[in-house]
Amino acid sequence: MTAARPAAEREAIDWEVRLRGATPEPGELRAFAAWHAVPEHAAAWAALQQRLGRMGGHGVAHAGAIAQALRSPVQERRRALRAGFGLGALAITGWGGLRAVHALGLDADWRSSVGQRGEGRLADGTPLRFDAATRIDLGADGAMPRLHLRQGQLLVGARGPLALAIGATAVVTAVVTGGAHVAAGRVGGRTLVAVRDGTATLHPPQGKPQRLDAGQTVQVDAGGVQPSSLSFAAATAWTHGMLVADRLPLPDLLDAFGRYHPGLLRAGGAAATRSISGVFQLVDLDATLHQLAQALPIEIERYGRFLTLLT
Amino acid sequence: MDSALITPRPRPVPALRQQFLSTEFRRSYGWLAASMHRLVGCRNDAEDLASSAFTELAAIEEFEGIRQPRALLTTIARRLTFEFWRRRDLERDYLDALARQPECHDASPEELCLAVEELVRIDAALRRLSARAREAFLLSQYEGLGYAEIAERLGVSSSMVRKYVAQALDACWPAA
Repeated sequence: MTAARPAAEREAIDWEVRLRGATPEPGELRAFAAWHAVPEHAAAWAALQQRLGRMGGHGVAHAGAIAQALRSPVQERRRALRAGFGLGALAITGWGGLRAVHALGLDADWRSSVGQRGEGRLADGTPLRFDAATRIDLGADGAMPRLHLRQGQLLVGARGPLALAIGATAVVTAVVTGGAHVAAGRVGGRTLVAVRDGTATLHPPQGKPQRLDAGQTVQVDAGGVQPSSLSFAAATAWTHGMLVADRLPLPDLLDAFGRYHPGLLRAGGAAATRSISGVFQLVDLDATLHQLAQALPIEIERYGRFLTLLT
Repeated sequence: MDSALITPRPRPVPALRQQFLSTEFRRSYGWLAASMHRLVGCRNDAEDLASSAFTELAAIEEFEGIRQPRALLTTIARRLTFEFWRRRDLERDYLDALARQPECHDASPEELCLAVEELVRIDAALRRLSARAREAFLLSQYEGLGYAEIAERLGVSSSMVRKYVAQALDACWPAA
């Protein structure tokens, strides 16, 4: 079983397996009703049934087609791939390769791809939401769970004390009190931390630890810790597919846009020195870039599907 | 939207990174697109796959750790190609099977697209299981067979079938 799965969900799976069996006994049904009477259990049960509903099953018109497609063999594709790429893949050995695989987040605990936000839950039930193109590793700091946000943004509603590490090299760390909602994100070279409800103790790369109270948002970069004018709602606008920028250098803005854009977005020339404030929607990024190009004296050039340059 | 002109702090690392990426793009994009073309046989698909591989390469923060960019690109491209082929196989087999079901009403393109997305998700989840566990789950979920019948077909015990089904449910249901 997945290690991070809450007990209620594990039990929901057990019940699904038991109730699928031949006609359940009355005693078993009574036991299920008692289990289901707990709201947390009922919620887990409903979530599992919803998932199963989306997967389709015996009785839906296309169940046979689903089963048939899922039986299509995988092996010949693997063989063709091995033959097609020859020895190329064997060249990826050694520290560089391993580090790169780690950097890609292929082994991260939570990982989202470009344009896809995600949600998760820690073992103690702490809910976690994360932005597109985000990688988070789960570890422990003594008895505290420790979330390492390697890339992207997260929003966590801590049930108990929680350690946060932000940036690929954990350049900023924080300890969050139970009950606090904390949003943290990396944009370009800067880290944004916003707190609601509880408090957090921030450890910047330089200088003394700093206490953040509810309602405070700060920005940490090589120059130190500065208060940010963004509200908690603005700092978490990504949960609704929006981005609120407050005097953000264009390269950093493009870095944030990149979570919703397959390919590279880069600023060059005078455009790279501009700072932008505004509210942007992330769902249709081409429209957002177009809007940006109309409002500012910048040019957009596209190089294939990979590289878009703003100058 | 308003804008103000201020000079951002110098950021040497992103500049290096950008340089690394554009150098690598110029050096290897054509090579990768050509290798992909040989493999998948279609120029457009090959370019899409090569672009996607670069996009993933660009997502690596610790680019200093990349000693052999082409080897890494190859590894990424292999995975992307596998996923691309797998999606096509699933879609083809699904549509074939649907076409052979005359009683099935015509699904809209959107519905088909969603169904294939779902297939890809289920397939990726089930691929982590053993062949027997996968088959046990397909028989239970999509063919409505009881545990005893599945056990007989697969030559395992009923309690093993229950374990298989539990494994599959766990794999297919992302933890909340």
